[in-house]
Amino acid sequence: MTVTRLPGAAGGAVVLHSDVSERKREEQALRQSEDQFRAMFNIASVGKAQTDPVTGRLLRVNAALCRLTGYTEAELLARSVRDLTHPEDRESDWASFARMASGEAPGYENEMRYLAADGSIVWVHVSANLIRDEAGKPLRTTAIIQDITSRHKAQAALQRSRDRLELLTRTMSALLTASDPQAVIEALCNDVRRFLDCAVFFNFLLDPAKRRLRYNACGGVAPRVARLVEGLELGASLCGTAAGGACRVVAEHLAGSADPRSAVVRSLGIRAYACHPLLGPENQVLGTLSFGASNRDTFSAEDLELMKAVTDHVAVAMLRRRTEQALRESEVQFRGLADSIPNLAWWANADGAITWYNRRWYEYTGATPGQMEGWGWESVHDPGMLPGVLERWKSCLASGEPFEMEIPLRGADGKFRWFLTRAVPVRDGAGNVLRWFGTNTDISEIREARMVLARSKEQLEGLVLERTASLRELVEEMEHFSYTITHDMRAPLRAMQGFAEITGEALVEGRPEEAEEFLRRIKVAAGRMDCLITDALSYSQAVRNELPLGPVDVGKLLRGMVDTYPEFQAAKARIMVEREIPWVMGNEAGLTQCFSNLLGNALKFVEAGRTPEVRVRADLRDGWLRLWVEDNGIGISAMMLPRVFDMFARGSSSAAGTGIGLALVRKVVNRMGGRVGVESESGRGSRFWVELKPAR
Amino acid sequence: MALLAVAESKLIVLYVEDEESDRLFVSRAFAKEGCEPCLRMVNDGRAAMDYLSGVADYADRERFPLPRVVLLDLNLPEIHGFEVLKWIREHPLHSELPVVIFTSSTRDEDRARAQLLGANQFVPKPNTLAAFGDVVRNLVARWLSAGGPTAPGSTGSPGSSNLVAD
Repeated sequence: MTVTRLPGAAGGAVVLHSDVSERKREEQALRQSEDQFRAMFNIASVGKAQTDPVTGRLLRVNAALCRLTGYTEAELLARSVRDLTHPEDRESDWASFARMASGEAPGYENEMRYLAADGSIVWVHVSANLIRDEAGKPLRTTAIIQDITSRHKAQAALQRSRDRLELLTRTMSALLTASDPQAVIEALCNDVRRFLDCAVFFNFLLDPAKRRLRYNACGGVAPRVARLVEGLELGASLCGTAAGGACRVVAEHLAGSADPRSAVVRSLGIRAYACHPLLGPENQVLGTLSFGASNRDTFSAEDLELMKAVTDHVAVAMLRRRTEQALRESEVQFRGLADSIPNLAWWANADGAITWYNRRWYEYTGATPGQMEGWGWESVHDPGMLPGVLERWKSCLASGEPFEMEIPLRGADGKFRWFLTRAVPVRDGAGNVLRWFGTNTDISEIREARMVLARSKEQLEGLVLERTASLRELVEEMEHFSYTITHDMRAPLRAMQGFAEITGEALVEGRPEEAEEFLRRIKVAAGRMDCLITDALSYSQAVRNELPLGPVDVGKLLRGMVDTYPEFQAAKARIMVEREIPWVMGNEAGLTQCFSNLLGNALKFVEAGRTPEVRVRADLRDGWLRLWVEDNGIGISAMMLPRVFDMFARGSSSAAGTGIGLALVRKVVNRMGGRVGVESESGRGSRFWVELKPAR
Repeated sequence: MALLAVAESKLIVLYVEDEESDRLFVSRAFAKEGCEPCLRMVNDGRAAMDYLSGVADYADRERFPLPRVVLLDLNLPEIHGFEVLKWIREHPLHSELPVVIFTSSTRDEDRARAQLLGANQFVPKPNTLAAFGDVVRNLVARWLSAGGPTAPGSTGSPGSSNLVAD
């Protein structure tokens, strides 16, 4: 090492001669010291310089400084420190130098740039001191200059990567927190563009159906230019190529290119252009993000890396925006739908508190959202029903089973209406209940209709039973009737047959008078047969025919019958019809049938030799008009009285009647909505009555 | 003649009938069989009860002896034949009296009711005089002949299975 030649350690080895003069010794010592200094100055690995404190001219430089600046020693000695300093640092450095030179400061340290001989920048650390003479006057400055370019470059790189990281973080957080990422994309991409020192950026979206790019945002250029790309096929532009192939396209050295795909960007003076596809989670292309630089022909790997990272962030944000937009749209659709339906509807969270109601709910309940919050819905329930509702609801919340119940809810008018309440759970992918969607459907009318239906069904069933019973009764009656009538017809038939045989015998045996008598009997039997058939027909008609009711002047009807019926004309009979008989609600034909029977009976059943007397009168009681037919006949025994209106119940020998007449009277009166009855005693006459509603 | 003997020993049939023609045909048939004296006839249920109870005119048992059998129409005025049958079966003296229902009814209900109420026989009314003769001959042979049941109480219990349509 040269250092071994340095004074200090070897100093004690120097032999001093006495015959050398003092001056010579001094000179020698000075020279020695100078040599030592020079040696040290020259061999230092760091740059060293001595400078004139006034002018800043370099007085002395070492080899290291020559290497550092790229100048020769002679070239350096012709320059001042100001000349060496980078123009941007020159003034601040000179100010420090001046302060030192004036003695204000003993020295200074500074990091700054030198301009090397080749024009490149050299970062240096300068440590300068002022040297004074014995009188304290500034003699010169001395400085140690260290090359710190690589350290500075490393620092700058670090700073840049820190900036890059910060930019990315800012970008990401801005994209993620923005309520509308679209709104921040342009600003963020411009930040990135500036950071990358790029002239332009373009952001296109891909319309997959049309296979075209659509302009979304740009920077450094008018959107009009970006829109030029919209008209192009995917393969006809750089961005289209990136979108079509879902791959990065980097185009450099564009200045000399003739590629038609880069025509648009070349027209903007772009020399380097990189386009990254915006990719979704399944690598589907959402669009592109591209940056173009006009100040350089290539991009560094770092530049491209940053572009890719930003592109990925933008893609994520766009996806989120799309998802959110779809959600918002579906939410808007849902609310629109929920508000338009006639049902009340609501959302409840997983623990059963209701978080949202549709418009109908508020319209119906008249409540405010504040009143309905959480478990506020309880207030519109019937307190009597609420515990049951809560129990069911909580059990459904626990089990996740759908809820369904008919519940009365109080409306704004304070009245309760019935609602079919349904709630279904909405689950996440893992099957956990996220929330519940509920509806209340007004079923008051349905319930009412259901009740009316049940009631009318009950009534109908009762009516059917009643009708069936009366029909069965009628059928039985008709069966009985038809059986008995045919049975009763056998008697005259049998008589006719028997008498015919006897007549034959009498004629054969020569007793013509006897034969004549039996022929007479045959005629009587035939007459009876005719009566039976006539009565039977009348009865079946009375059962079958409609009897429309209307006001009937029954007095007039009776008087007409008395005057015109031959059987009532017998000179010996007396029929009196009271003058003032009110009108009744009845059927004229039916009434005629009744009274012809009653009057006929009254005239028929009279003791021999007695003049029949019949009186017809009317009697108003309890809203009924009672028409009496009173006779002076043989009367009815107590035993017969209860059965007198029964079919074929006869009070005397069959010769006198068919046993149908009174049954017919009762049937017809019943069908006119009235009643019949009789008061009688054997031998004391009979008093039959017919009760009908008086005509108004 | 045996039948005459029957009549003489007061083996009487009481015929309850309101149809005049039927009464005529039955009495003619009895006459033809020569046992007209065995026949007594009444017009309705009331008269039948009176006859059996021996009230009013019927107190004279010489003229109106108690019958060995009652021939009973069903479709009687005022008191129905079944009422009469019921009355006989409930009567302390006549509860064992044989009763033959004689009717133009062919209804199963009537037949069943007759059996339920204790009639001994159910005979439908015929249509020809010859058939009336058959009915009377069978009646006399079964209920009045010496070989047949001769006394009330020996005719089989009321409602027994000898209720047949001859």
